[in-house]
Amino acid sequence: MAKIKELSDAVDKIFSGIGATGTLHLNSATRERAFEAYVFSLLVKAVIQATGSVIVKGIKTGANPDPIIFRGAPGFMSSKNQDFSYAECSLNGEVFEVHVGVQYVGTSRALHEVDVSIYSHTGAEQVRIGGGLPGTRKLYAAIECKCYDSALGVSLGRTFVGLVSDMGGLKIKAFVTNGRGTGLADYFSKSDRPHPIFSLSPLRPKVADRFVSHVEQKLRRWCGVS
Amino acid sequence: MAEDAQEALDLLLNRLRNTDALDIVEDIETVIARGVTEEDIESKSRSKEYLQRALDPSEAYLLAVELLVANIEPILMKSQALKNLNQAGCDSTSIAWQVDFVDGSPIAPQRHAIDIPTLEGEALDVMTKHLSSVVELLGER
Repeated sequence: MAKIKELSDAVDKIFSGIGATGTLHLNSATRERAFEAYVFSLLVKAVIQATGSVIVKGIKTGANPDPIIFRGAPGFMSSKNQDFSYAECSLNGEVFEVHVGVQYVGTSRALHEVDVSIYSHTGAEQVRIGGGLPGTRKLYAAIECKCYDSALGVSLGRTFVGLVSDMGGLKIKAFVTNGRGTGLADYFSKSDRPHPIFSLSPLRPKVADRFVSHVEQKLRRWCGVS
Repeated sequence: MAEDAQEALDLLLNRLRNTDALDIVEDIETVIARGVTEEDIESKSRSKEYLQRALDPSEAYLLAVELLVANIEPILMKSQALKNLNQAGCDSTSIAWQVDFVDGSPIAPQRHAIDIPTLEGEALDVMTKHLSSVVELLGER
């Protein structure tokens, strides 16, 4: 256990930098959104690492939107009410998109919100032109993101496993969180369940690197990159 | 510099009040006031029984620091996300969140605007380093 004085000195240094941050308090919904944006950026990193190319686009303004706008709540891929952003990626001839907070229609016809997803570019274009909701036939990845400041329960894992089971054949399925949960780790230990990543945070760059490498390997395998 | 846990906790709460982070102060004081629930090992009952007890000053201070980290971490997440996207070739200078609409009505209530500060360059590196030190000192709990 850390000595109180050492910890207090370390906390002092945080406050010396707090002037640059402005407001400190963030509600739980804000924390979740920040975590999803971070995970989105790690998927982009994985595509680059796999030797692919990425262009971040706004649905209204095109390449390099400024600001990059993410959904404040799960919504529709085809919506042009705001300049929502996504990453258009190309890897060994496969063209796909990374989205945040998009709703999909599952194989059971139930509507599911996927925190961070990878979808076919062709399919996404059809949805943007025709409207409607994307189905799961061209959904390649589903990442569940949980930003917590307390222990995680197994029920979260069961909910995501239920979602994934309605999503058809995913190439990548992962449950990522900045928290920890021994019960959840045990739950995800079965081979057919989504890959869990705990303690994912900019404060733990080795964990972030491990997640990026995991996604990179999955992308390489799917897109046939040697 | 605080030498004992209660002094360190009082100092932390005062500094948060001075930065106008009153919601965080309230969260910390609420969580500390609730104490902790533990199994009553001296109970003679066959079924498990639990007791609630107050946190000692060390436990209270560690909890307060964890909550402080939890509140700052999303700033680093957003800032690192922007940095990662810039490194991937995106020229955007900021990230924002907006709610979608259906027939003119927002699809979700927005009680609080999603407004997260961004740190860049040396400020991001320095804050990441300081927070990482704290997380390391807190250890795996």
